[in-house]
Amino acid sequence: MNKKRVLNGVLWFWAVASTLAYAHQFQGFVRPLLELLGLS
Amino acid sequence: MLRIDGDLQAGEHWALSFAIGFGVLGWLVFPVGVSGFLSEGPLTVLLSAGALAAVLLRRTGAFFKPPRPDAVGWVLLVLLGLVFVFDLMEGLAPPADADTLAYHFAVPKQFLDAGRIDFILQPLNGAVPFGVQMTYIPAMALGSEMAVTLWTMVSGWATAALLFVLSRRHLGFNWSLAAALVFLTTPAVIYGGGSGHVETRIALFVMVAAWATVRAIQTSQTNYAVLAGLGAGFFAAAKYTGLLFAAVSGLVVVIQRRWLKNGTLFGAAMLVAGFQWYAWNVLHTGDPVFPMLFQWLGRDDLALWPKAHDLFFKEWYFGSENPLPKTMPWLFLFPFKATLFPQVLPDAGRVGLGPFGLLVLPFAALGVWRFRDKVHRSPLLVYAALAFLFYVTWFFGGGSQRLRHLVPILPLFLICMTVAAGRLTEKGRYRGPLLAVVAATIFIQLAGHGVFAINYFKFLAGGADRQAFLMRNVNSYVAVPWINTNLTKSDRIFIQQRQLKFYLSVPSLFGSSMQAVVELRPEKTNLRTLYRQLRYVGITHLLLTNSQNERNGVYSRVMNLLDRAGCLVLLGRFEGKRILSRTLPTLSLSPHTLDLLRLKDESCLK
Repeated sequence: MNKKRVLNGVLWFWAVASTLAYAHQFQGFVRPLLELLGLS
Repeated sequence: MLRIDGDLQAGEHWALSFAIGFGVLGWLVFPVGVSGFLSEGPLTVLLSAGALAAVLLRRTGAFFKPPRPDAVGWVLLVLLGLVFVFDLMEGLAPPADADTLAYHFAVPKQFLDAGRIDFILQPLNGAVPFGVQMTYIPAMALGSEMAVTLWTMVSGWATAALLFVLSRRHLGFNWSLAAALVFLTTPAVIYGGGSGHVETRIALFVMVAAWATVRAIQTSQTNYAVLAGLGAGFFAAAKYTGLLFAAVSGLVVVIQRRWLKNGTLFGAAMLVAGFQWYAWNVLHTGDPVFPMLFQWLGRDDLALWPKAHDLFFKEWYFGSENPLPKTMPWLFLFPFKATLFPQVLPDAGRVGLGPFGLLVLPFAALGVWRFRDKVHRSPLLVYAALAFLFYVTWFFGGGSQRLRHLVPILPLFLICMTVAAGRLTEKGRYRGPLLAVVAATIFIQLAGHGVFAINYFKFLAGGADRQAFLMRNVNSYVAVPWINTNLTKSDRIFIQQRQLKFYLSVPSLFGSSMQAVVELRPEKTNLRTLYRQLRYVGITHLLLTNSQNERNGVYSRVMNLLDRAGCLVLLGRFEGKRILSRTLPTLSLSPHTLDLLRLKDESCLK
């Protein structure tokens, strides 16, 4: 049971960390996007 | 004809029929074009015959069993509807993608204008398999420009439909919808699905081949081997990398009891479906896969593509298209590099395969491990083998590391990953993080698709001003209206911007290393040679980038030879902005000056 909870935690960590790692490469697009939407 | 209909659900019947019909249409246009009958009449007969033959597809019994979606299913359907609206807006706008304007649409237009398929002695954009582009010709001839853009939209969605129905063999309704949604919003599919790019449509052929290969192995029936061969052959007829897929799918087909008979029939069907463009290349150059084997098989008498230039071109092209070493470590690191740090790769990032593979990886790996005793009996092992073997052969043997070249096998990858991850969570365990990564993928990709669609929304909301849209989206388009108004069919303009070709109504020549008729390497030419070569191909005008900061003149080193000799007369100057991204126009908007010049008569050489 404990092992499954640990694995569940690891998978949650992977979910968050890999999503952030992927999204990180697009940070340079934030400013052009805001300009496109007329918010900057 | 293959008597496989009894094996199919209604959705499979229609989606597979579209895929095969799509390949057959491209195949049939080739003989019509080569015979010189590319005009409205013959193409109307061809399409009418196909439409009438579709009656034969009529099935007895229930046409379609309507699903009963739950709340999640409805959410996914609404999101798919949103994606449909995004794609429809793109389909209603003029084409603006550079490759599409340079050849995916420009070559069919060129063939239609000529009334026949002519051989174009040019690598990448000319002497390549055009199986998919052949399906654009009837739409272009009988409809309009919009008919072609809507056709690419429909055929892109057909791929998602086939992915959905094949997923249903292994997944529930919601997971199948999610797989289709992930596919449609994958950056490389957003980029290529609605434009003239072929990869999204080739995925149709890959799924036909994969599904038929599974059935051939399960049943040992020859009709499935034939169908698998047709799928692989249609891929080969659409892109050189189809030869790699044909090789790996042929390998998988022969791993079964009736390997000789099924393998022979697979090979025969593959050859019939795929041979046309390779034979066309052999006939004109000696090299079936021009220019890859040209240095050994190519003809020596081709003044337009001498062997010395061939070697120069390949050194330049393969060097620039393959930034990562083709080694075993990079074989496994490449997907991570392409997903997380794609900057060095051509096209990756904004035209990548999205985060799904990375995010779902541990779930899929654990799912495979949990059911490791059953994996070898799963039909999905064939899908996984085809996708993996194609990836390996592409990585080591492909000509370019552009990630979108993997889009044809993306549906197989999505099905395998989704099934493996889904199995892990069947009993409710680990469902939370899996749903989170699928939701994150859909959210990120859908947001990207929404941003991509703003450009088209602005076009439609702004009264569909075509000229304004093209000025905003096509590099150097600013000069096109003047050229089309002031030059005639008897002129020919030298351009350095290949994406202008589709919109120019006068003959043009794209000056690049993809052609050898006008030598553009400064160390290999001189004023007289350059002038003579330009005149030989009928050049009367040139559209050149004016780089005011160049130390030795305003144009490129070669074109400065003409300028200094007084062989160029300035007719017009156009100020524009170089567009790095159509989606995010303010990403980079550097000023761009173009000079429209007339080539003077020979007296300037004296």
